[in-house]
Amino acid sequence: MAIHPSSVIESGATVDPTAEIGPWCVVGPQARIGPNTRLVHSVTVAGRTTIGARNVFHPYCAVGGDPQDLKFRGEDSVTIIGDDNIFREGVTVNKGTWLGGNKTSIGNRNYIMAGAHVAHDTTIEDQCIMANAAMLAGHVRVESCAILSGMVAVHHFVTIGRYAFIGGVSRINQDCPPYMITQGFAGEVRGVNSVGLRRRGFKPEVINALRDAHRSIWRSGLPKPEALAEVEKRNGGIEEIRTLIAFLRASDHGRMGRARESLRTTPLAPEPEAEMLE
Amino acid sequence: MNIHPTANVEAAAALADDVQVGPFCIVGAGVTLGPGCRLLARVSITGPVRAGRDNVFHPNVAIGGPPQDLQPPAPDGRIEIGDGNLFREAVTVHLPKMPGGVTRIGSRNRFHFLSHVGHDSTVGNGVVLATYAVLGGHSVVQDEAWIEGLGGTHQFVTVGRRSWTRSHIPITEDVPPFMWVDGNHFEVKGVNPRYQTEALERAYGTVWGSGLPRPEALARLEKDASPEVAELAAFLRRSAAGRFGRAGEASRGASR
Repeated sequence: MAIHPSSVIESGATVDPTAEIGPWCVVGPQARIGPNTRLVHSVTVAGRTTIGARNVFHPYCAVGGDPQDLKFRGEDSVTIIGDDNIFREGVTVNKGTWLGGNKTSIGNRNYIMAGAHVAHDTTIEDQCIMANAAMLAGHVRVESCAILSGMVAVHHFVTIGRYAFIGGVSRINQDCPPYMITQGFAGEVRGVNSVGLRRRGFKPEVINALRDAHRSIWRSGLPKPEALAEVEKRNGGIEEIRTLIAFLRASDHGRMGRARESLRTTPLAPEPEAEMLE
Repeated sequence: MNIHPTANVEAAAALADDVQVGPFCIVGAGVTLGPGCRLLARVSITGPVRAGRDNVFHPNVAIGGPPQDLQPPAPDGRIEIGDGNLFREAVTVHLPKMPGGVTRIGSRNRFHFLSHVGHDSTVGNGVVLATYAVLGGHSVVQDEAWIEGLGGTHQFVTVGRRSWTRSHIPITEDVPPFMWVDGNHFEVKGVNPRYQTEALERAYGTVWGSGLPRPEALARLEKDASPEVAELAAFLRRSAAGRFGRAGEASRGASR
């Protein structure tokens, strides 16, 4: 087992014999580190954190630390990380809270770039990219193959759909639909992520159907339910279109454009009444 | 040489006599550090890196990591750093991915907390990258440009000399020299107040205030005798020749 003598592996920790741990790392007593995973140096793995195979953690990453959340009561929550992920310098991943099912989870083959933050109770599926300093708030869900550009900030309980592309420095307060490009201070849908879809091998007819759906839903001026019904009638046979429609309906059922808001079981602060503002 | 006993300095690293290396630093075999360089604590400098004199590296700075790219790094890439640069906490500078490439940083630059110089980027002299300012791969930042916090350049962007980019701007196009950029989306707002001249004010009015078609406005600029205006005109021509308003896009073909 390649563990540098200056690193601290606390008793109780499980480290696979093929894992490689560089200088000045700290691995807490409840951590499990899988085969061929590499901690370059100065990496901290805290809490009840399970890390799979072939992940790389670059210097100054801190994984499984306490949530940045006032509702956290010290619960024994977990962080689960799959296989083949890359965490660049200074990435922070926080463990879960009781409200989010006590779990933060990251799937397989994700690339999380320098200074990015993955908050408590967040789920990242597979093959996602988070560029530098991209920030997820708590309870966010990022579906497979989504790309978040640099400095993107994502609000609590937001869902980022699969194959979505979020432009740089965007402020994301609402769900970002799958297959689309969302960008800007108001987080607006700009068009179909056709470059990303082509690179991932989507067929031209699927991309064209998504373009048609984008025109109807965001450019035609039709009320959303009518536009969705129309798109469904035209191209409902295409799986990606059904995914898009189901996603948008779920977002509309949630509050404030966020399907996962329904998971917020604590009462929200009441909105100030109009009279009070006057 | 003043190396803390907990630091890990490879024997093959070339450090000037008065270099200071604080606790828990890593200095790799391919690293050359000039006189007066100071590594405060937990600094990581690995890979082929050559730094001149009087550079200061604050805690958690990581220089020489592989490029943040899905393609493998170039085997012969390196990082060149000039003199008198300040690297504040958690700054990252990455190796190039282009064969024989260089990620280059000039002199007297200030890199604030968590700012980032991406693979194959070039930073001139006297540049400021404020907190969270991030340069995407293949970016060029010319001398004395100032990029405020949470600003990020797209890959292949050129940020012009003595320009000023306000905070929270996605820098998706080249920033013209001597101008300032702000807005919800990328907008050239005027002449950088620190370098205002009458000729530049006139030039700004011609290009962004007159409604003239761009080629006509540039032709007018080229009649101006001021060297700054000539520099601006040449810069704008190069940007217009690239794709998406980015002169550097022309070199993209080589990377694919």
